[in-house]
Amino acid sequence: MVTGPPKRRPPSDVDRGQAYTLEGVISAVVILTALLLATTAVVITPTTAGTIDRETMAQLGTQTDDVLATAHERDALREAALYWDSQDGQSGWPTAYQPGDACPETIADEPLTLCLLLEETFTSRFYRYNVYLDYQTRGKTTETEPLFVQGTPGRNAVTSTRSIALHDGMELTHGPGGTLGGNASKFYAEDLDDPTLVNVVEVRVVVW
Amino acid sequence: MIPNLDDRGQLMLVGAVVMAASLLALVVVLNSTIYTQNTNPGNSLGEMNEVERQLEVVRTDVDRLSDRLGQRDRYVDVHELNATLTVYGDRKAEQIVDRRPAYLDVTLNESASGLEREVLRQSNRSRAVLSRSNQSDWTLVENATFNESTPFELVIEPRSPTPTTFIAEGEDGGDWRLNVSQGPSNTVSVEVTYDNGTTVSESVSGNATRLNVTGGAIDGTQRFAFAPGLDAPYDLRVENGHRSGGAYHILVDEASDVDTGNFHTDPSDGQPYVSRELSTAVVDVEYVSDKVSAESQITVRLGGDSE
Repeated sequence: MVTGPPKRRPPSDVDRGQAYTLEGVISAVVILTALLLATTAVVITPTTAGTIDRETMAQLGTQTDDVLATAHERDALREAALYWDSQDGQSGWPTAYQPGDACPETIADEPLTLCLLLEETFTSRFYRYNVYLDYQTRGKTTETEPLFVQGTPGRNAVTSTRSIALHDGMELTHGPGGTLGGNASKFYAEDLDDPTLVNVVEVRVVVW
Repeated sequence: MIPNLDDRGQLMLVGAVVMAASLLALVVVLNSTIYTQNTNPGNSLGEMNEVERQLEVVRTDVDRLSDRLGQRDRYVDVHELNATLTVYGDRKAEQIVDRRPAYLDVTLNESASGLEREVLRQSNRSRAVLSRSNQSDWTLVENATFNESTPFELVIEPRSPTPTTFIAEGEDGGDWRLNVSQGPSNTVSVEVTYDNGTTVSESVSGNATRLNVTGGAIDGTQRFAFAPGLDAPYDLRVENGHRSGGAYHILVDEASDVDTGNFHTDPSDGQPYVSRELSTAVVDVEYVSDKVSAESQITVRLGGDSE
């Protein structure tokens, strides 16, 4: 007797119910995954991109702040603010200076400490920097004297500042030297209306 | 009644969708929380760092300025430190407000500072040696004892061949006179007359000379003695003060009598003033911004380190 393949049992209500359940769970997983991905894409992507950019800039800003804090501790801000060639009436930091060159020397034949700090921190990682000296006039306006300029800062440049009070007894750190009181008329920052305090100079470093 | 199996499957489907929606809501809420926690503390922290940086800078600057003032005359008086800190504080405040909505105030806390001897000073050399009420014959100080630590020093620029005279009178009488006048050919004549009638004369080139009256030095070189034979304490007077311009400072102990009517207490433009020597300067620093406000006190031991 020839027997054919066994006949399939017609789907019962139990099978249908399980199929519905399975379908429901799979749909939920699909919808949930899609929604999560969509949410991730919409909310996080711009933030993520911005966070990376902002974080990088924040880190650079922190490093610039740290360099200035170290410079302040090592008295390098005073040294830089007084690095003025009173004979030529200009910054003692040569304009021909290229990143990677040996730092210019002070009147004490020591390399300019702020230059060393900036070179070690930024030039070695291919960042560029400008250093400006901001001071106030007797008319209470702010003027700027560039100490060293490498170029025009980029769009993502960060800036950090630290101030220092200069008094008449401080010595210029670039030849021919002499006290600030004795060279007040040749110095970039105007002598304020006080017998001791010459000016309060802000050292501003821009890194990009 | 027995539920239909179709209904059961659909109920499970609805349940699964509800669970998915709940999970999604949870994810959204958690995302917001994390974002908030990251953002807010960051801003306050940055501002606090800025406050710390500014206070550190002010501490260094106040130290240096006090040191510098102390180097010049070996002491610092309340008025001159106040004046310097006012100019410094104004400039710092303007610098800060240029960059952020914040305010910095730096002031000498006179009541908390250590005060010592009295200081009489005129800092503008082009001013005549006159009293506050423009008298040319007047008393600088009475009952004063001078020594190395309480000097009377002046830079004087005589304007006439008629001398300006500084007179010291001893407690038991007798006097000692120092005459300073314009000499011939751009010189300054200095003549000291002792109580016994002997005189010492010196001529110094230039239109001005630096005298340490109580130390007996002319331009840093010992040339005469101060009031030999007279008993301390002394009364110190000036005559013809209008015939010379001069910047001077006198340090006297508290037993001396200073006629405060002869000196300003809040001078301008180098007027003669009376003030007190500082042994310790306490400087109040206040930083106020829209996010934080901080107060700090800097103590500078003059001739020592700050705290």
